[in-house]
Amino acid sequence: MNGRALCHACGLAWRHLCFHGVRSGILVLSLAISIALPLVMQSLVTRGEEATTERAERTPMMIGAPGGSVDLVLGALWFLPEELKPLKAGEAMEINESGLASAIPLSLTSRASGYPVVGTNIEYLSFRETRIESGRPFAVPGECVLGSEVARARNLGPGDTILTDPDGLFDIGGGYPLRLRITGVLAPTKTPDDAAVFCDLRTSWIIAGHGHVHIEVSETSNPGAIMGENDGRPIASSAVTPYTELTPELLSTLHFHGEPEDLPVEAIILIPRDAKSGTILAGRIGLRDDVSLVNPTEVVREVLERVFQIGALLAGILVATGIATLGVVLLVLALSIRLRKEELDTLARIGASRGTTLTLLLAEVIMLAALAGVIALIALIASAELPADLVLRLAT
Amino acid sequence: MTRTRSLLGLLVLPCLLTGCDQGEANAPTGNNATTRLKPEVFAVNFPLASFAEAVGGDLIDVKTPRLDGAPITSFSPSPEEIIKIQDADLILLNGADFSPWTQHASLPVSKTITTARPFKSRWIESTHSHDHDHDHQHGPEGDGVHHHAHWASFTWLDPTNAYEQAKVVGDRIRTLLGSPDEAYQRQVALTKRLDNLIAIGKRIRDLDPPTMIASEPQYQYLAAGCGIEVLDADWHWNEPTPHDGMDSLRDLVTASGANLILVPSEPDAERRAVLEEMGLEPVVFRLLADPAEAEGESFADCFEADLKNLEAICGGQSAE
Repeated sequence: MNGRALCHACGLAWRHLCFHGVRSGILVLSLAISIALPLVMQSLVTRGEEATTERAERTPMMIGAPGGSVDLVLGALWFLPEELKPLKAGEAMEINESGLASAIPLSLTSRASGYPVVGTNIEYLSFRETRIESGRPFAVPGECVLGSEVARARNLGPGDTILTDPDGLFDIGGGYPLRLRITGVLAPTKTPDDAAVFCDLRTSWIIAGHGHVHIEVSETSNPGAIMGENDGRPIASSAVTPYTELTPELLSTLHFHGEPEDLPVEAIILIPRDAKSGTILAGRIGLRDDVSLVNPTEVVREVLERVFQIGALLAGILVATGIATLGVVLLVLALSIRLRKEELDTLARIGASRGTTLTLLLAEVIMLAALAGVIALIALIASAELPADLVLRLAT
Repeated sequence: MTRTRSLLGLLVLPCLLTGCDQGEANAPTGNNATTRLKPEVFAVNFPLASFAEAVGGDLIDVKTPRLDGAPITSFSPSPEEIIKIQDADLILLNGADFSPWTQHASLPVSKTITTARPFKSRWIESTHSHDHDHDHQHGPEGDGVHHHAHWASFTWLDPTNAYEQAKVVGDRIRTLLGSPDEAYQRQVALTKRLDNLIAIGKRIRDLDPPTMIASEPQYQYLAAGCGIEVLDADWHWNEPTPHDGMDSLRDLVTASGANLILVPSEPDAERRAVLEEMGLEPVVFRLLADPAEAEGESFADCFEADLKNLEAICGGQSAE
């Protein structure tokens, strides 16, 4: 067969596929899914493993209240909404004063516009090597910096504000949400920090109701704010804003219901000064039963092992499904040849050799496979845009 | 050394306190945004700055908040100024409600040390915080009534406290510098000086000192450290005439029979005349939150001079 005949065969094959567009499309999609799924799955697992391990390895040690270490690590490193028992913030102060390690407390109970609000110390940002892309870090309670994803999704930047989410929709006796002033936006890091709001630990305590400011409601400063009196107490009207904002003037009235060292945090990241200090600290904390010392790398490894087990099982299922799909496709093609018997006989009568007919059929199969391959490749490339820790999030 | 600090204070603090060089705020967050030749130590008051200088010497740059002659207690930094303070390598706080701005500032905890924390059990509740204390309740039924008290802040006026705060500062400075031998030697020398001040305090206590009236409420730790019964005059002695609280001061003099009044600086002629008219002799004892007026005088120098003067007045050896 010469090149001209091959071109004609390919042309005929292409026209045949186009003529039976729906059938061809279904075949291409079936093949594409069968090829893409295991590849995307493998890619996500590999990237997820790298990303989760890297974040865990960059967090040397962590303490929390006794309980599930997996929940603690997932809550403190990925800000997943885990129910974590609190421990006293004084633990962080004591560790810092011991000089053995830097302790970065994390308060993880609040959310703003659906994103986790991470109450912490200013050192968290330098610990995670984040860079302020615009604006400045938070400096006083009531200020916050946004992760890049929050800023992009909500179209917010320095100078804007974001409201914290109320505890419960029907909690009419609950505290007002806090309106946080945005002072800066972090540069993208492709980590969970991108999808979080960071503020001072005291800001978190205020959101959680452990501290408050006093607001004077008066007719002179806010006309219409008072609608009556009850035993000498003013009754505020709906003209009073349904949120609190910590203005510089109100900061002087800020106070907490207890000493700062007694107020709660959900986790404390420990960065030992050196290996020896880390060992001493681990030894000291290990003797206690009121706090739990966690090595995030080990915990993540455990989680990943589970993910891998599930991943391996899923991969097996996907391969089996792929083989079955391939069988169905081959069957469809075989039946198609049978249905096209008259067409193939006509080709033979007008002088097409067996080789040309075979080339025609093979060209169709190759074209279908090639189109499916291209779609699978596009899916694989597109999957790179998914968060690296997606598998961990889905698995948990 | 002190000259170095003064120069730095003149050159750098205006930047620190006026928030100049805004560009740095856009630099990477944190704490290592600038490259320095020496570690920078920020101290909230004169005693802590003096301890840091005494141990760190020329190996560190010490900065304190100082604003156009205004007292250090009135320092209230803007968020931009707090960002600058965050960049210091070590931040020395006093604790016990000294410099309330620190309770609202986001400071890096691993670089921030509250020097009075080791003796928190000995903090004294302020008797002069009625303007700030408040009881309040949450809810109409009074559920959640709570009381917010305040601590007396001038902890260093008790020589034992000063000794302990100096130890905390010295240890952290040495850690910051990598424990050089010269810093250790200087810390030992400072410790000896402060040990001597504790001895003077004990001698004053043994002299059974007379009851004194305090023109300022900050003498509570001095009273505790030296065993002096000090009565708070609630007399705004440094305000221009007519002085607020004169009647209560007269009542206090009559009731207590005291003839000595502790004042933080030499009274002018008008105030001296007012005191003499009531039969009160002023005893100058500096509060020392702000740097000494005399160039090169350390906290230990000032405190020792005032303690010796007090000892002499109480009937001990005369002040040198």
